[in-house]
Formats: sequence, structure tokens, C-alpha cells
Amino acid sequence: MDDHYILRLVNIEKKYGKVPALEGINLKVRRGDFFVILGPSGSGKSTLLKIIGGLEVPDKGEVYINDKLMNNVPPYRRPTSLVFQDLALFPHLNVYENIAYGLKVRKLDKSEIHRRVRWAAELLHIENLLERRVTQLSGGQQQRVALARSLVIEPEILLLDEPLGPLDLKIRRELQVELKRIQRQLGATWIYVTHDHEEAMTMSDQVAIINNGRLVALDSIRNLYEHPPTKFVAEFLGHSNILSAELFSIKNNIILMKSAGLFLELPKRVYSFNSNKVFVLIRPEKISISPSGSSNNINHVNNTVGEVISISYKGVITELKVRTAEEIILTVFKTDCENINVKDTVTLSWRPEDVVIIERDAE
Amino acid sequence: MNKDILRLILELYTAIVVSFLIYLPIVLVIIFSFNEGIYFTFPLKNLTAKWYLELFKDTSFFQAIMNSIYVASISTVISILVGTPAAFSFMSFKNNSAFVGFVFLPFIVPWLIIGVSLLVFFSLLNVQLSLLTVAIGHVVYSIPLVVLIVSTRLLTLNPNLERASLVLGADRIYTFRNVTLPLIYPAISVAGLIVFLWSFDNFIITFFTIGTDETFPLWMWGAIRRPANIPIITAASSLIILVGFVIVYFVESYRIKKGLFTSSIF
Amino acid sequence: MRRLSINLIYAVPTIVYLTVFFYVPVMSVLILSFYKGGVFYKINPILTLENYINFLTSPIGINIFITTHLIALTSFLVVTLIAFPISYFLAKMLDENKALLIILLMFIPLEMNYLIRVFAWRNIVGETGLINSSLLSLGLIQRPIEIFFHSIYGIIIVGTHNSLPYAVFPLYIILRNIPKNLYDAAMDLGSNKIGVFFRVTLPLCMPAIAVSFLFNYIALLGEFAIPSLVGGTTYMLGNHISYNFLTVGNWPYASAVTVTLLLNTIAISLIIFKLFGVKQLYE
Repeated sequence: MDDHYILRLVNIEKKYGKVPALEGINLKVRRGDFFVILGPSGSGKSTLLKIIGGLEVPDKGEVYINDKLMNNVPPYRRPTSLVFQDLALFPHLNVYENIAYGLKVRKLDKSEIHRRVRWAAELLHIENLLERRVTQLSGGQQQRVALARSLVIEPEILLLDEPLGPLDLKIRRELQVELKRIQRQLGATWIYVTHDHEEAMTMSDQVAIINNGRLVALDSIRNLYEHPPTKFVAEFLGHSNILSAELFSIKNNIILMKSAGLFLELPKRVYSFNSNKVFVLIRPEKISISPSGSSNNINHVNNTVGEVISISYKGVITELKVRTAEEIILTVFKTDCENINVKDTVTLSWRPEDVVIIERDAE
Repeated sequence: MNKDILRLILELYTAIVVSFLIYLPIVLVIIFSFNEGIYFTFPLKNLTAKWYLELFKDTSFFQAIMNSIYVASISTVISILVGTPAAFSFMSFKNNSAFVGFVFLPFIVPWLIIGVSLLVFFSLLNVQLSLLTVAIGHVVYSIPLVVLIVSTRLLTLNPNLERASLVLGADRIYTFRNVTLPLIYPAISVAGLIVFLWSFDNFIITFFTIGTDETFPLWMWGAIRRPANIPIITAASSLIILVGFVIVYFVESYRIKKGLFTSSIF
Repeated sequence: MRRLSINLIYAVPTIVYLTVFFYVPVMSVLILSFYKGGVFYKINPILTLENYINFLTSPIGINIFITTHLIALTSFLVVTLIAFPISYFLAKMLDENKALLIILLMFIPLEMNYLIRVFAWRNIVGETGLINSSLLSLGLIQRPIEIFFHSIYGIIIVGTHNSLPYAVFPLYIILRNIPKNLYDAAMDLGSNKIGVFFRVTLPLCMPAIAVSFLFNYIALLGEFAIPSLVGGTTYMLGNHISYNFLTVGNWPYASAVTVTLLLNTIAISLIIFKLFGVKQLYE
């Protein structure tokens, strides 16, 4: 029916004993996407992956791959392959034999196996490790072997369960870029589970956010970041300044929100909100900060003054926390701040386009 | 300073206990097997190998050894075949105290009870006691032993390994043959070795379930009663000790070579 | 649920085997114990409790019972006391490889024949054994000291020899794995070194002690070879049972004593398991 959705999940539910792990999960994954399932620990994302892969059976709901019902199909007959969080490399086989495992199962002949293993090894830059025992490899190398092992059987959907978790930051970043490159090159559909929103940002085409077993949002990461549908999503995806606010007035295509003593003005877009009480979000990197005195136009509409209460240097950016005159604490990111110190008085301002409204209800 | 003195005392203590309490008797047996005199007295009279020659002339000794090997082989094969699958079941049922109790009661009770019960049982059924009945008795104790050793290994096995095989396209039978079995094989062979040695060595159960044959421990028991036999028994003992050491040495070096480091004794 | 019952299938051979060759035979012993018996294998199929009464109320029976338990208990205490400093030394003062090597060395003799070891000990402590003959020839004693060695103490020595490794190893494992900050925390809260030992170390070691109890105590309860060879005139439960089965031929009576031993074993094991939890012991 829908040819470009390779995977559809319909009303998936799973309980462990009395505890619901997943409830009412409905989602569709487009063919060829790098699809990320993002959520905090314990949200049920690994369970969801296992259901897709066939290692767990849902209590309710259906799994369709290529429009075929997969509920009763065991993992070894699905066009999927899963890379485990702990990798699960076979300790009694060397690297070559690990990678070749899936091919041997399919009874390919030796030269074909050899050719494909070499291809996968070159793809992941581990050609020189083929004779080694897996226990002798570093974390990053083991990671690559696990990937090669699953890629070599050319699954239509590759499932990855937090594969980069235990690795060093630097190696993680390198692998993230490489994984994306490989996925693009192969054109396969990858479903990638993680709790790290930065990973989602780097790699994903589409993101599904899961919290407490429910699907909270499904969109591109950019949309989710710029226009988060709920407070949870906004906070989960990065630093945010979220204020409770109330509709103050609508005049001339300008909406004015009031939060404590601060006014936030935003251009009227296609917003329709259900109540007058909402959340308002301003990302820290969208706030301009300058030492007081350089600007006198403080009218507390999209701008304010405040006192710096802390400064954290984080390399690329500096994070400042400022207590405003309205007793609101705002976090600000700035790329260079040599002339601002703690206890200084500063001016904060932001553009109307950078104010985002989040409905209050959807939790 | 205090700590070093303590350490020294403990080190000395350990050395003394291990050498005297554990090794002394064995070393003495070996030494005195070369002694001309019958009794264990110093100084040694003459160094001689004559007791070994006497031993080799004694056919009952060799028959007993053969019988022991026979019984131990049968016991090992049966208990491994029966016990290994049960270890898998044990994984699912280890919290069920009825199951655990049922399987391990024969392991905990004194061997006397196994021996005596089988004696009564076989008599009631008019079954002739023989080496086979001995093996049957040995298997009763060995099965739980095998279950214990193999299931301990199964517990440490990463469950994701079998799942990894499944997601790579292998069905459960293929997975069992190519992933599970190779990974538990060392535990199975250790269990086999332990069961074999235990069976070879067992006296109490054998005592009650044997007919007119003799296994090696029975042979020793019979011979020990007469002082004249002491030197022959000594020779036999030291022979077994030396063979035992050789076996253990080879097994251990094989294991170290293959990189299997868990201690073998359990 | 389905998986669970499928799994049970693999245990079927075991269950069948143990039922046929252990549980049924034990049942037959139980039943036999209620028959009237006589010497030379005569059995009267009359149901009676006289075997139990005879054993449990006669002075001989009580004597044997108590003696056996005392010996087992003493041996257990001795071996635990001896093992403790060794385990402590191995766990705290040696690195893992050396410690495991020494433990392995302790276990190797166990792979030797059990009777050989008993025989060896007999030749050391017995009447004509090494110690006596050395002391005699050195003129330190006039007659062989039989009473001291060819007796209960002989049994205890051999029992200790047999079970020392089983006592050291579990203790070693536990002592090794006690995190150091436990000691620090205890001392921080005001205990001195001795206090720490009694309040922290000892309780943590209980599971190991329980394991060594099972190996040593229960094993000795059924012994008859050891008392026979090095025990002198000591007469234990095991001797009584084998004597009545094989020499006297009063099977019903012997069965009753056997059942008593069995119930004894089960009772003791249950107490230990209740106290320490099977999971912990499984370690």
C-alpha cells in the first residue's frame, strides 16, 4: 500500500508483569531513513527495538515490515538485524568468523563469504583485524566488528541499540559521522536507539521521542528542536529557558505574552492555542547579552536587565546564568565573553521570531 | 611493622599447614614406597623398587584398576548425557525450591545413604550386584554434580550471544550447535573429568553396591587390613598419586594454553 | 509460560533417573524400617516401630548418635579455625594469581584416592606409624602412643585433611570480595580493629562457613571407612549402619538407623538454608 514506509507499528503495547513498558505506540518509518528513537533511560526504547527485531513479542498491536505482518515471524526470518548494546560478539570466534557468521548460516559458498567479509571490513576500516580474537580489541574496534557482522548480511532494516554508549566522546563523535556516511552510502533503513539528543541531531532524518513507554513526538529533529510540541521535548532536546506565561494581548499581528513582570512579543504565526496559559521557550543561544550601559532601550518587552550569577566556561560556548529584574533565571550561551564577570549587570534581549510557544496540556 | 610481622606469621602458618596437613602424608607415601622395610620408620632401610615389582605381579590390582576405569567411564558418559540438558532446565527453574531440592538432595546426603538404599532396592528386585550396579549408584551422585558445574557456567553466559545469533539469521538449533555448545563445552569437559575422577575414587557407594568384583578402592580396603600388605599398598598408592599428578598437570597446562582460566576444581 | 514447560522436558531424564535410582530406593528403605527384623536377613512383614525405638532409646544408639555428631562438630570447628587464617592470608595479602595457585595446590591431593589418604594418615599416626616409631626410636616414649592417635583425634585429623580446601576456598572468595570501604566505614563509625572483625567480617563470612559446614559436617556423619581405619575403637553411625546391613543382617533395624541419618541430614541442611538463603550459598 504505502510503498515508502518500510516499517509500520500499530498500537504496540507491552507489559512486564503489571508494569507497562510500552503503550499505544504508532509510528511509520520511511524507507532509507536514518530513524532515531530518542528517550531517557527506562523509557522503553530498547523494548521497542526488540519488538521490531522479533526478540520480544508485543502484548497488543501489529508490526508490519514491507506491509507484511510480522508478529509471528521469528527474528531469523525477518529482514532485520540488530546490533546489541553490549555488542555480543562471539568470544569463541575470531573477527573474520564473527563477521562471516550470518553468511555461513545462509550457506553461501566460501569465496562469496570471503568477498563480502572483505567488503564489510573495508567499509569499517578493520581489514587488518580479521585474524584477531575479539577480546583483544578496543571498544571502538569491537563496535566496528559488531556493525560489520550485521551489515554484511545486508538487512533491509538495521536496528542499533545505543551502540556508541560506552565509548569515549571523541571516538563517539567520529563514529557518528562515519555511521551516517555508511548508512547513506548503503541506502538501507537504519533505526537507531539512543538517549543522547546530540547524537539524534547529528545523525537523524526523523526522530521519535519516547517517554514512559509513550510516543511523545515524531518529526525531524530540526522541527522538534525549534518548535517542540511539549515541555518534556523542549527540555530533553537541550538547554532551554521555559517560562510559564499568559496571553496578555493580541494586537496588529503581534501577540504579547506576560510572564511574571516580563513581556514576550512574538509575531502572529499559525498558532492556535487552546488556553491562555502556556509555556514559552527561548533557547539560550538565541539571547543576546551585553554589559549594561551599552543599550538604554530596556522596556521589558523581549528584553530585560539582570545580574550574572554564574559563568561556566565550556570551551565552544560559555554558559551564563542571569537573574533578571523580574526574578527569572535565564540561561544564556555566548561564544565569547571576556568582558563579563559574575555580579555584573547585563542587558538581555532576543528577537520575536525566537520565542516559541508550547501548549501546556500535552504531558 | 606490625603488619609485616603479621604477614610473616600468616605466611609461615599457611606454609606449615599446607605442607604438613595436606602434603605430608602423600609425600611420605611416595618416599616409603621405595623403602625395603614394611613399616614407616626412618631411616629408610634400603632404596628398592621391589614393591613395585610385587605390585605388577599382582593380578588383582590390575583387575581392580580396570574395573574402576570401566565403572568410571560408564558413570561419566551417563551422567553427562543426562545431567547437561537438566542444567538448561535448571536455568529456568532455579528459583523453584521443589525442583532444586529434588535434584540436589542426592548430592547433599551422605554417600552411605545412596549406597545402602540401592543395596536394599536391588535386593528387593532380585538384581545381581555387579559393576553395573556400582555405576548406577555413582550416577546418582554425579548427575547433580554435572548440573551444578554446567549450570554455573550457563549463568555466566551472556544471553545476548544467543540472541545475536538469532538476529543474524540462525534458528535455534543452529544457534545451539554453533554458539551455545562451543561456549559451554569447556564446562562439560571439566564436569566429565571431575565425575570420572570422583567415580574412580569412590569407596562408600561402591562398597554397598558391588558384587564379587573389586574396584581399586575396594582392593585397597581389602588389602589394608593385613599389615603384610602395607608396602604393596604403598607402592600402589604412590603409583596412583604420581599418575594423578601427571593427569592434573597435563589438564591444567592444556587449559592454560587454551586460555580457559576458571579454576577447574569446581 | 510456554517456554517454561518446554524447558522442563530437558530435565525429564534426570527426574526419571533420580526417581528410579534414588527416591524409590530411599522409599524402600523407609518402608523396610518398619518391618520386624532379625539376624541373618530374616524379615518379618509385620509393621512395627520397634527398630526406631530400639535405636533411639537404647544407650548404644544414643551413644553412637551423640558421638557421631560431636565428632562431626569438632572436626568442623577445627577445620574452620585452621582455615580462617589461611583464607585471610590468601585474600588480603597475596595477589589473585598466587592465591589461586595455592588453592589449586590444596585441591590437587583431593584428586587422589580417598582411601590412599586415609591409609597415609594411618601410617603416620597409627601404632606402627611414623610419629610413634620416631618417638620410640628417639627414646621419648616407652610404648606407642596409640590412645592419642588411633582414636577420635585420628578421625578429626583425616576429616580436616579432607575438607580443608573446601573450607578455605569459599572463605577466600568472600574475604577477597569484601570492598575495602566497608572496613573504612566501620572504623569511621567508631569500631576498632577487633570490633570490625566481629561486626563486619564475621557476619559476611557466614555463607562461606555454612558451605564448609555442609561439606565437612554432613560428610562425616555418614563415614565408616575413616573411623574404621584410623578411629581405633570409635564407632560412628556409619559403622553401625554397615555393620547391621552386612554383618548382622538385620536389615529393618539398619534401615531405621539409615532413615534417622537421612532425616538428620535433611534437618540440618534445612536449618542452614533457612539461615543463609540458598541463593547466597550458590554464590
